[in-house]
Amino acid sequence: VVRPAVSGGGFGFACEGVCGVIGQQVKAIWARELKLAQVGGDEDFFDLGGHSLIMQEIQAAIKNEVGVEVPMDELFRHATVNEITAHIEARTTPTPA
Amino acid sequence: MATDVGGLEAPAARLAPNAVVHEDIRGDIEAFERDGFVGPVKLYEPDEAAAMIREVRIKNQDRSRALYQNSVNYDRHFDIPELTSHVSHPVIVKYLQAILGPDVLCWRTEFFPKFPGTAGTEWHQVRDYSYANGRPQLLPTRPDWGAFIDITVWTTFTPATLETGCLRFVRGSHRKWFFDERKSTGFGREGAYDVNRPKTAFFGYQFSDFKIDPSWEVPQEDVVPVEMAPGEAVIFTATCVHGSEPNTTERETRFAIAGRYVPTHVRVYPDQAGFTAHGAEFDLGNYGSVLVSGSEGYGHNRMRSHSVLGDGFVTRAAR
Repeated sequence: VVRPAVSGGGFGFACEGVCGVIGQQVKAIWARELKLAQVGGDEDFFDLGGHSLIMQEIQAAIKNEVGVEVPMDELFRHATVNEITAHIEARTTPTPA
Repeated sequence: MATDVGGLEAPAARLAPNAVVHEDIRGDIEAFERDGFVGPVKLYEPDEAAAMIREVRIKNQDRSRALYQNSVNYDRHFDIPELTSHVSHPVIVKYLQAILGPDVLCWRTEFFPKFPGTAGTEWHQVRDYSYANGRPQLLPTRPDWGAFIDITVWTTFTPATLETGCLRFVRGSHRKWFFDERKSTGFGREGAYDVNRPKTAFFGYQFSDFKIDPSWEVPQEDVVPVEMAPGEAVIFTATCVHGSEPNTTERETRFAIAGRYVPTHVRVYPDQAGFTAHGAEFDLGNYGSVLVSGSEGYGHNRMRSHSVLGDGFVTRAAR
């Protein structure tokens, strides 16, 4: 199945869920902090066993590894890898003139 | 069995003289009188509860308008709209009127998250919350009352099970004192700590310090765990000995919110401009009790009719 990139893949095709650099970084952080082998792009943080203390670790890791400081309320508001990735990319991608 | 210790009269475990019990909950109220708790009582459909907790979790991250600038989530009904309305939920008020009478204040709300792998909350029995710092936080003013003076409504927004850490009660224990908050404690009153990472079994305190008879143990045959679905509440008096199971799951956080209520004749935080509890400071400068039912004619307490966001609290008519 060929699907368009969900978030910033840069190639626009054949990408299962998150495939951009930021998306892959976020996905890896979530999997590590949630202690899961893998995380689906549309899986809800709380359904995966997340809670506020884990989210604090994720926030710190995104800051250190992605270089973006995301407020905690936005992390909770965008509670999937795809949603928070889109949010980060919208904040970091320059608007075309 | 320990009662009437050190001038402490046995708890008045009766309905308020002016209580209004509707027929459809009469059985529940009889169970409450007998046991000291009743539940589960359904407040929200599971999908409503899920939507509420999602909003609470998001809004909890912004503490800029919270009444207290500390990490203990007391009184967020003043800055989280879902909780502004929750404290006056019609079903809650119906039970309050049936136990405490028509005139009732909400004096506090608290968050109770229980994270995976955390210990159970130890057995405790609370009269006036002086365990926190040695000073009573509640002071009844009517010696003729002869009835319950407190109700806690503990609503879970995630499954509360034997595995995730549901509440458990010692049925009938609300008629006698097994703990005395006036005793000194070796933990909790002096030190700051992270309330989310407690090192003791009672949020920084060691409640067993308050046992009247240090050798007293909970009678296991009277222990009743109350498993609940999201959106359900258990209604109890804090004079009923209670605690919680541990959360033995790997991935299921239990999240509950408690509302605490008193009849209007009770003075809340008497003569206090602030207090300390659970390692945190609470400045009462913007605090007020909320009238959820009836009317307030005593003038004992500072009241708040609106949240800090300007949302009005609902006061339901005495029926």
